[in-house]
Order: sequence, then structure tokens, then C-alpha cells
Amino acid sequence: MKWALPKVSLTRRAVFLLYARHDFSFTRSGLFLGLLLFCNLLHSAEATIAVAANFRETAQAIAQRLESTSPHRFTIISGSTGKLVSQALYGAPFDVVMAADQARPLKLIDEGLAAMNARRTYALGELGLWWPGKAPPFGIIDLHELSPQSVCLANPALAPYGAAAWSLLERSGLNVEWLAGVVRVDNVNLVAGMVAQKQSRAGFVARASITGMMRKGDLALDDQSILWLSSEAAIQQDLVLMKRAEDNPAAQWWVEQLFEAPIQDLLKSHGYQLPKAEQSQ
Amino acid sequence: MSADLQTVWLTVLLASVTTLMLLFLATPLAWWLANSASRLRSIVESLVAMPLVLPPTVLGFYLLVLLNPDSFLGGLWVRATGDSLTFSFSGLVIASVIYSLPFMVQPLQSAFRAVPMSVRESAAVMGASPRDCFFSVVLPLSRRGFLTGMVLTFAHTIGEFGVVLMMGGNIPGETRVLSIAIYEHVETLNYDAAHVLALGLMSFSFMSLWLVYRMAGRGAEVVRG
Repeated sequence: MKWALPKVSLTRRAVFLLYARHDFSFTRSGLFLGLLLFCNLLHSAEATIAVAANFRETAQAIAQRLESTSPHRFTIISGSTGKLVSQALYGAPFDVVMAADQARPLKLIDEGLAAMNARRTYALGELGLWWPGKAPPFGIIDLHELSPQSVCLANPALAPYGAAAWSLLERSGLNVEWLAGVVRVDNVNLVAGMVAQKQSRAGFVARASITGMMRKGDLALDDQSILWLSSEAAIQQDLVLMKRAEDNPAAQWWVEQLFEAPIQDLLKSHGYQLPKAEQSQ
Repeated sequence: MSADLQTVWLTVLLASVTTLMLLFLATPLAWWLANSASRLRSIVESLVAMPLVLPPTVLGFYLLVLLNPDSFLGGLWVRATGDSLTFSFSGLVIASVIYSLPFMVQPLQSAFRAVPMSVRESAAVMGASPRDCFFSVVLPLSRRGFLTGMVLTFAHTIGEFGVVLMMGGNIPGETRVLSIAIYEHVETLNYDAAHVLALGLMSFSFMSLWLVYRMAGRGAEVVRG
């Protein structure tokens, strides 16, 4: 396992070496454990990770795993990518921003809040059209059959999944009046919830939202009943390590571990594909 | 501490700090408004009352522009403390003080006006200095106004949403107050947790208003009696 970062383990190693040179005793064991705890406290750090709404549950699972294998603590903040980046531009104390697109991390770099080499693609998200009662194959143009019209998507101005869905709708041949009636909600997770609760009859969802709801037992669904649109709308999700966190070991640890095999497996199990260069061997 | 308990604690802390700060800031302002004949009075009264009619997003937007680290004020704060005013607890306190100003000033202003001039004049004739008169005569007679102002300010701050969302975001332990937590629970379809917090806020709001009306009722009885 690669969980022991050199930064953390140097002092620990010294304690282990000192301990190994002596015979076992309860007093010495207590002292040893105390020293180890002290070392952990010395090296522990905290990082605030801002994640796109679709990545919320995955980020929480990653935080849980990394907190159990390191002394660091992570605070997860989620929202639509546009909202989070706007907050970061106005001084929100984010150490890592995990967007659902590539454009907004670039905006943070342009504004001088992150270095160009601090940007990486961490996952490929998948957009789908969930239309309960209608199974693929069908086309987006078929949505005009819905009467009353009740289709929702994440706000394209704020959410990359919504922007991708809107672009597909505009190219689908549906007329302008029909498009004007599409409901826009705050983020892509909310779309899945609205369709699941029948508040909307169809919606453009993220595979991660559906996977998350199924894992929690909130939804029982055949994967094939959603029209997946990965070939039409690939969603590359980029992250940036913010300049303010360049000396934050917790934030660096988070970014490093994202590209290690255990977290990559977790990403796959949460409904994400891995960018080609990052696929674990 | 669980996330929601931390949120409750942060919200109560924000409401307490705001109420305490407004108690000191609003008292002289309300006293001046209650006694001044200046032409400026109506302008100041309008400015104080503006948060009652202004959409919270407008206030939140301007505070975000005024207090962000790149602005003059926000930059000064960063240089002095090393922290940003936006998306921080300190920034929320400033926003709450402005947003809840009328809820403290208006009850105090009414209470000060209700103290008969004859009582103040009698105190002055008996040798009380203006300072003595204020602390020994006006303040005790205005205690109901103080209580109403404090309860309303506290309750109003507890329920703040728009301003917090605009300039505080949703940072656990820093800016994630109750209304934001409810919004997040609904967004993530965690309706059980949303119900617990929402019912708690409903009960709290009812109790606050009941307390205010009960005090007002007692005041009326005293006047009638």
C-alpha cells in the first residue's frame, strides 16, 4: 500500500526504529503509542475540497477512506460547478476544486488562483436521459411526445451536465417554444431526485447520481432503462489544487491519492470512467 | 459532533453575536431617531428599514462585492487578519448586523418614544444628568422594547438564508447555518434530516413570536390598568 507519505512517515519511522531497538514492556508500549499519536497530530492537516454536485457522494467516500489511512481531515463542500468556482473567485477558502468540466478550472488558473500544472482530469462523467416508462432505444426528439411537457435538467449556466444536455436538446430539432418549457434546477443531483419522485417525467441525469441513489437503496432501476449519451456528450471532469493549498499536505495527499489504484477503483464503482492516462494498470 | 449539531451551534452563535453587537450599535441610533428633529432623520430611518423590503440577494451581492479579498475593505481585512471576510464567520456577522438592523432599531425607537417627556423632565428637574436620566429612567422604562428587539433580532438571524447563501456559501463549521443545511438536505433528498431541522425552526419561530406578543399583551394590560 502507498498510504504512508514520506512527509508523514519520516518521524514515524524514527519512532518505530527507536522502539524496535528495545525489548517489549507495557510502559514502553504506552510511550510508543503516545509518541505515535503525537507524530500523527504533528503531521495532520485539514483541507476543504469543493466538489461538483454529482461527485458529492464519491468525495465523501474518498474522504472516509483517506481519513482512515492518514492523519488528515477533509471537509467536503458540494454545489454546481459554476457556483463553486464563482465562490472561489470571491475568496471562498477552497483547497481543491473538483469541477464537472474543464473550462472552469481553467478560469481559476486564468485568475491566478491556481497554477497551470495543478490541473488534472480526474474522471469522465456520463450524461443520460432518464424517462421512466420509456426504455431505449429512443431519441431526444421523442421528448416532444411528453404531454404535459415535463423535462428537467441542471441549470446550463452553472452545471456542466446541464450545459451538455442543453446543447444536445438544441441540436435535437425540438422547437424553440418546446425548449422554453424545460425546467432548470440548481444541480444535476436534483434532476435525478425530481424524476425519481415523479415531479418531472423525464430528466438529464448523471450516471453517478443514479449509481448513488441505487447504492443507498433509494432507487431500483435497470441500467438499460436510461438512454446513456456518452458518445454524444463526454463530460471531462478536471480538478485544480489551489495556490493557497500548495503547502497543505492534506490537499496534496488528496490529489495524489485520487490517481492511485484504490481510489480509481472507487471512482469506477461510483459510475465514473477514468481518463485514458489515469487508468490503473 | 455531528454535522447538524455543529450547524445548530454555529447558527446560535451567529444569532447571539449579532444580537449582542446590535444591542450596542442600535441603542444610540434608535435614541437619536426617537429624539432628533434633523432633516436627516427620515433618510436614516429609510436606510435602517431597507433590509425589510430589499431582497436578501441584493444585499448579499453588494456585500460580496464590497467585502471580497480584492476589494478595498476586504483587502484591508485580509492584511489585518490574514483571513477573507467573504465565506467566513466574521463576514456573516457583518452581513447579519446589517440585515437585522431594523429588527433591533425599530422596537427600541418605539420604546424610547413611548417614555413620556414629562418623566424625563421631572428627572432633570430633580437633578439627574442626561446620562443618569437615560440609564436610570429611560432604559428601565424601555425594557420591553429591548426584549422585543433582542428576540426579533435573534429569531431573524436564526432564519437567515439569502444573504448567507450569497456571501457565506456552505462551509461546515464556518458558514453552514440551519437554513443552508435544510436547503442542502432537500437538494440531496435527505428529507428526514430536513424535517428535523425545519420542524425545529418552525417551533422556535412560533415560540419567539409568542414571546413577543405575550410581552406586547402584558404591556397593553399595564397601560389599560
